[in-house]
Order: sequence, then C-alpha cells, then structure tokens
Amino acid sequence: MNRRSFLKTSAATAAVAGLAPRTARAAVNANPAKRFVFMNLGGGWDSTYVVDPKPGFATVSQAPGEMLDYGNIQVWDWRPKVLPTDPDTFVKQFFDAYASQAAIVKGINLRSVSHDICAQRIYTGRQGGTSPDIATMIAFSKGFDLPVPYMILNGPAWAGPYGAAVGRVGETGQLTQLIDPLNAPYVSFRPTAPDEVDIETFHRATALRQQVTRGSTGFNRNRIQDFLDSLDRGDRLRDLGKSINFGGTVQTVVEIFRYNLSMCVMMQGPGGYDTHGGNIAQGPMQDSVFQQLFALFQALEAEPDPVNGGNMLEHTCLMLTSEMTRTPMLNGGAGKDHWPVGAVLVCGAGVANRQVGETGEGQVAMPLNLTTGAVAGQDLISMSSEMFAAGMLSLAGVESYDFFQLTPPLTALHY
Amino acid sequence: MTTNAKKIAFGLLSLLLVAACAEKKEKEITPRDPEAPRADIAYLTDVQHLVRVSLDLRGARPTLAEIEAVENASDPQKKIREYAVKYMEDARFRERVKEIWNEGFLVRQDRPYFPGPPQLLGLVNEDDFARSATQEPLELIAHVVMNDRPFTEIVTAEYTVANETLAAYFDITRPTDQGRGWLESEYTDGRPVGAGILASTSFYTRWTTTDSNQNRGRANAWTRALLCYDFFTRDIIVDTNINLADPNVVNNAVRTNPSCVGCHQSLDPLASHFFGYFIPEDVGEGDRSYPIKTYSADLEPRWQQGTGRDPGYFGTYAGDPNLATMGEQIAADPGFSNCAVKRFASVLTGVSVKELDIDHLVEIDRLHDWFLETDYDAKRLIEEIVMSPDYRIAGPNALTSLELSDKLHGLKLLSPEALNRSLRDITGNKKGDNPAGFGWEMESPLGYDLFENDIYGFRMMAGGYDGNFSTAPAHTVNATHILTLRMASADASGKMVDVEFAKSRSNRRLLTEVDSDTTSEAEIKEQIVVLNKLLYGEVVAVTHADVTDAYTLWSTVAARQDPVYAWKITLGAMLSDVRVAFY
Repeated sequence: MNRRSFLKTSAATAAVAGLAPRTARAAVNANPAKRFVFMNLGGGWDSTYVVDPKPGFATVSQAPGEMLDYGNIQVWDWRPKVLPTDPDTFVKQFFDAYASQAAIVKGINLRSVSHDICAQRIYTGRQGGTSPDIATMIAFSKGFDLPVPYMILNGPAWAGPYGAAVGRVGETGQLTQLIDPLNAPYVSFRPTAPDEVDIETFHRATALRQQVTRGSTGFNRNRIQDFLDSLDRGDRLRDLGKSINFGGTVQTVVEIFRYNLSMCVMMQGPGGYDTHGGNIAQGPMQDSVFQQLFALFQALEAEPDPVNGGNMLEHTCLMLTSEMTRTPMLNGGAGKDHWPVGAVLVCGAGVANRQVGETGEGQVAMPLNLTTGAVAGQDLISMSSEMFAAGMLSLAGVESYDFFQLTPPLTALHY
Repeated sequence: MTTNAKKIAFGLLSLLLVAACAEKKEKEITPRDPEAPRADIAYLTDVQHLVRVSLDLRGARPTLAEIEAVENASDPQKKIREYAVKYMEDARFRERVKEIWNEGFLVRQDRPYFPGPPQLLGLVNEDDFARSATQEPLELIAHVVMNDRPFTEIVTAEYTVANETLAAYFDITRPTDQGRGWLESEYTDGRPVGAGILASTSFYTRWTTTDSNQNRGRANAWTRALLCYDFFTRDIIVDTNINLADPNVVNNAVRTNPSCVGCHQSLDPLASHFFGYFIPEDVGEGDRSYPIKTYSADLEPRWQQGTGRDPGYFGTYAGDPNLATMGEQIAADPGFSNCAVKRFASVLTGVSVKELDIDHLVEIDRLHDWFLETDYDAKRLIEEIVMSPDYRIAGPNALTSLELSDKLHGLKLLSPEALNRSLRDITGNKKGDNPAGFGWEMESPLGYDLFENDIYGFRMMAGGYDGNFSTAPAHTVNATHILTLRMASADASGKMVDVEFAKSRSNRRLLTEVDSDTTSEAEIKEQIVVLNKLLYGEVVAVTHADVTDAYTLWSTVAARQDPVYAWKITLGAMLSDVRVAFY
C-alpha cells in the first residue's frame, strides 16, 4: 500500500470507527526525533546485567557489580573498577554521558517464550507475519519521501505491506554493487547514464499504463504504485549512496543520516545472547554493545545536522532491545532460559528521562500507568507489546491509532 | 523361503500389483468443477495464463512456438493444461518444488551447519556444501513429487535422498553405480526407517534444541511445516511465577499449570519423538571425524527425563512409537494433506495461507478432495491449481468493488530465483555451463549464485528471504529490487543480443524479426510486437502505445549509438519492466 492509498484507507477506517464510541486519543510527541536507530540483540538478553538489575532480590540471580544511580534511572555496572587505573566499562561511559536522555522500559508482557514470536511481538507489537515493525511504521509515516525510508544494515525486519519502504545493505555491503555496477566485476554490460534516463522514461510510461489497465484499484494498484515509487527511490539511492561506505557499522549509520538516505536504520548488536549455559558471557557481550553505542552517539554528536540544525544526536533516537529477557534464576548449567518479559532502552532525542514500568520479585512484570510509567498510583494496567509499540509510534510523533486502533499507547516514553 | 517359493510369492505379488494398477487405471476421477469465473473479476488471457504457468512451474518464459500453439488451439485451456503437465517434467520444476516447501521448512541456509568433509575440500565449493547439507528434506520432497509417488511418502519413505556430499557428511549409504546427484539412500546409524523427511538430519541442524527446550521447538517446527499448525500462534499468558530455569518446576507446570497444559499436552508427546538426535554444536574443523554422528537409538528414551510424556500424536499413541509411526500418523491426518494443498496453492496463487483459510475455503476444500481422490498426486494437484479461475486472476475490472479489489492478488512478484532462471533460459545458460549466457556465479571456492545467496548476493534485496532474518518472500518491489532487476536485465540483454545476432533468424529465441543492421521502423515495431507477446504474454497491435514507447526508446538509443546497442538497451528495459517484476 502506498502512502496516498494508505491515508485514504485509514481515513475510511477512521470514519467507520467513528460511528462507534471511542476513547480519546493520546497526544503524540510534539518534538519527536527525526531519525531512529534500532539495535537488536539476538537470542534474548539478560536484562539484569544492565537495564533491569535486581540486587538483593531473593528470586533473581544477579551478577556481581554495582548500581549506577543517575537520578531518574538506575543501571548495573557488571564490572566496576577495582583499581583507580582500571578503565570504566563502556556501560558506565555510555550512561555517564547520555543517561539524562534515556528511558528504560521494563515489564513488557510478551506472552511467549519463543524466539520468533517474541521478536515479532517486541518489534511489531503483534505477531503473524503481516504486521509491520515499529521502524517500518515510523519510516512509512514520517520518512516516506526518502530514498530508502528504512534501511536494514543487518538484523530482523518485518515490512508487512510496506515492503517498498524498506531496503537492505546486504551482509557484505553488496548494495554498493547495485549503486554503482562498476563495483560488480561479473557484470559485462552496463547502460550509460543517458541510457538509464531513457529506460526509466520507458518504465514509467508502461507502469502508468498498466495502472490504468490492470491496476485501477486495490492490490494491483498498490503494487504498480510501489514499482513507480521504487523507480524514483532507486535513482536517489544511486545518487546519494555513492558517497556512503556501506561496509562499516557506526560510520555507515552516520553517513546514511548525513546524506538523508533513510529515517530509520536497523543494526544487529554484537554477540549472541541465548545463554542457556554460561550466562556470565552476557556481561562482556553487553559491554561491547555499549562500546558500539557510545561510539555511535559520539559520532552523531560530532556530526552537524544540515537539515535540522545542531548536531545529529540532537535529532536521533535509539531503541535497543532483544526479543525477550532471561529467567530470573540460573539453571543447572549456569545459564538462564527464556523469559516472557521484555526490556528496552530508549535513548536520545524526544525521550522522557525516566524509568517506565518495573519488574518485581521473580522478575514479574508489574502493572503501570501508561502516561507516567509509574507502578504505583492510579490507572495501572499490564503492559502489552502492542501498547509498547504504539508508544514508540507516539514517541516518533506518529498517530498510533492508524496502526493499533484502540490500543492505548505507552505515552510515558515522551513528555 | 526357498528360491521357488520366493518366485511364486513374487509372481503372486506381481499379479496383485498389476491388478491394482489396472483397477487404478480404470478408475475415472472427475474433479469437482471450481466455482465459475466471476463477472466482477478480470482474468488473464490464455497467453498470459501460459506465461504465468511457465514461470511458476519452471521459472522460465514460454517459447514463441508454445505461445502460438495456445493461440491457435481450438481449446486453448486444454493446450495450457498439456503444457502444465509437460513443464512439470522439466528439471527446473524440481527446484520450484523445493522453493515452495522451503517456505514452510526454512531449512535452506547459505552456510552449511558443519564444515565440509575434508576429503571434499578443494573439490566441492561452499555453495555445494551448503546446498547439500541443508536441503535434504526439500530434496526428498522433490524426489517424491518428480517420481509421481503419493505425497504421503514424504513422511513414510523408507529411504532418504543424498548426493555424494551429503553421504560424506553423515552415516549414509548411497549407491555408487548410479551416477551423480540425489539418489535414494539409507542412513546406517540405526535411526527409524520409514519416516521420510522426519528422519532427515538437515531439519535438526536447522531447528536445534536445548536442555530446557526438550525438542519442543522442533515439534512445533514440524507441525508448522507439515500441518500448517503453529502452537506459538496461541496467545499464551505465561505464568511468570514459575521459575522457568528450574527443570523440575517446569516439568511439573506443563502437567498441572492451566496456562501450560493446554499446549503441552499436545506438543510434548510430539517432542518426545526427537530425543535420538544429537547435533554436535560448535565443534572445530580439526576436532571432528566424518561421517558426523547425529543419531543414537540409545538416546531415544531420554524423553522420560525430558518431556516426561510418552511419544504420541495429538492424543494417539502407537504401540511401539518412533518417528516411523509418527510418519504414518501424519500421513493419515487430514490436516497434513490439507496443509500440503494450502502450501502449493498459496505459493502458486500468491495468496497467503492465512488468507486462504479466510477467503478461499471452498476452493481449498475442492482441491483437497481432488488431492485425496488422486492418491496424493502432487503433480495433478498442481495441475488443478494452475488451471483454476483463482489462479488466473488478473485483477479488478469495472464491476469490482473496492473491498474485493484489495483481495485480488492479480500481480505476483517475480522471485529472485525465477528472475535468475528466466534470464539464464533466454540467454542459453539454463544449466550454468554456457559462459556466453547470463549467470552471476562466484568462482570457487565460494561458488555461490548471487541470486540465491545473501552473504554476497542479492536474494533478499530482490524480494527473497534468507530463512533467518527474513522468513518469507516479499510481495512487492522496493528500491534495491528495482536496481537488481535493472542491472541483471541489462547484463543479460547485453549478452543475449550478441548471441542472437550471431545466429540465423530461424535459430533465434527472441530477435526473430530483425537483423543487426535493420533500421526500418515497421520491422523494428514488428519485433517489439513479438517481444511483447514473448515476454509479457500480451498480444498488441503495432500502433499500441507499448510498441510506440519501446520504439521511441530503441530509436533514441540507436541515434546515439547503433542498432545492436539499441537492442541491448531496449531489450534490457523490456526485461525489467513492471510486467516482468510482476506477472
């Protein structure tokens, strides 16, 4: 579905829905980030290692370390200094620098302990294969006019019906060969630039004619519109992409944003987190994640933002998560198994600096107030993955009703 | 038994078989008619229908002779049916069967689970290792279909299939006197015989398990693949008061906790079948000896400490349960045959299994009856699918409601595999042995085809899936898809035009109306008319706007360069047109 027809459809849906009583829509973030980075940690991270520590809890195996208190949020430093000359962990370095821009979300009920299902739920809010993920929904709604609204460096993605808005770099950066076929030595014939212009004119004319004859409405129309949109996107991807090094990670993200190629980027974090045995590996793995994030944030901070003013970081938001968390207690193999509760770090532009939700003894998700994130007081509700995903849309300034209808969004992510 | 007695017994058996065959031949099977075509839906023309059938069953476009045979036939639909049957004898149909079933199995991987056997290093490339080691169940399914065996044999076969490489990986005895490729073979490690794909190692390397999971993930992978039933789609409120890290607590909960029992009383007996498999993890190249051991009958009883539930099948328990009895139970389950029908129908019609369940129940029921009547004949099922009105949907017409038009999947996205195959086909490089033809294959030791790989290639970028980060094919184009399509089509066209003009007209595949120095507008347009028919299945007049636009492209480029170059550009453009991206 292209944006135009989508907007029509949603308007129609809204009109029909308007016949029935509806709850008031929550206000979306008035000052959302202009760009989003998603980092996925595959396998299910142990949230007690950094974002959801449980020292002193009888029912949670907490790794040694010390609490870092940043006022509104607390995180765990799994390897504090012993000697003054010891280096700080990257966890500490990251939060020392950026804790004031961070929200930590705890206690998302995932209702499954399956990698696949939990991944679908934490990223799409739902499951079933046809629901788009948060990044796709944000990119489709707010970055539709960019060449590749949502670029996947690596990691999982669910485009749902909005596949035309999503693109991939490829495991070994093979996108560079599509951007400039001279990088593809196996290709023996390459049209010149004037040829390409003529070819596109031909493609556009036939596609428009097909839209009249075979795609006047519905599914067919949307597919042909996707083709037409992608012609334009492909051109701009080639033009802008020539200046980008797609072989890196942090630098690639910065360059994608510098050339305004995409609004959202997905990257796979280092490490494999499915530690059914040897859970202690979570510490160094998560530290390497924050090493990369620290480098990313510093690079974005050093990069001027020609479109929005200031530096890039001032307009960028990060979502770091994993498909699930791990059981509170260690098993017989010193590992931890799957746990159906999600935890997320959201950090950067537009984010409310607060803890959102909580887990209690046994790492059980506690009901929370969706507006304040507090787990005490009025209007407490158990947080579903739909509420979280709708909240991420709200954080991005996207009306979540268009995707989640009456699901109340977790607006505590923004002020 | 004496030799004579054996001969008599064999003779009697032969007589019985002949009688059975004769009886089967005499049995007239009349398919129930599908629902009649509707006035508010536009359907493909006969030639367009032929193009779709050809692309779906062999990944290649029909030849001009095939198109003209349909055009000139007194009963074009009958002729298309004949071609459908013929296309299913093509070796490329075997690949299509594997592609259809990988969407359920997701076993196809770019990297082999284990490093290649040392005796083959240097002789076999990485792509061969990956294809051999990961596609065993898909190859067995293709073997059953190509050899016209009842489809139930995929779960009851008393053999596996192996090529030379797979036989070197595992304890497999493969005939050495029947040439190369995938042959019926036998595991010699004692695993149950008669379980078909259920006993294939590749499934268990793709879907591994852990001490705490106790094969439940594998059980669900099997039910998802073979029964179209996914336990995970149930919305589960997991009781977080249970310590999931404590096996004793978990074992108790799955029997007594109401939020667990609902699924586990069905799932766990299935999982209990798989305890004989042990897949070594993370073993270095130097530490392993080949053939790799992956099964031990001694480990089968581990379910007693694992799930604690007897091996069974949705409340049915065999006397001496093993994978073979489970195979029989699956084969007898209408859920299995129904799922097979939906998998074939879904990929061929472009409608998801979920949507088939909602909007196409009558047609699925009809096809299922047909599948049962033909003794699970997959080819006849496919024939019935591709000849049905649902398959021939072209899109909306003036009578179509908006609601219906959203459900009419009249444009199917050309998969990267089909794009690759069709470009290879028209450039005469069908088998990858003609360097003058199209093909993006990496040199040894990697050897990957860039259209069928995501480490170095463009499969996902052109709408495919890797089975890990992306678990289903795309249904629409995006920017990288367009760029891949254009680059490949231009490259193929550049190669093909030279090859075509080097031949006499009568021996050419596409450029049959012009020569390298032809510049007459009438002749160029006549050629474009033929190309429209060949590439898109569209019969148009020389005055049609499609012809005019293609001629404008040709003449603009010819004025800048020369006629041959202009054909390279024009043909490349036509091969990356919206009517190629979608068919």
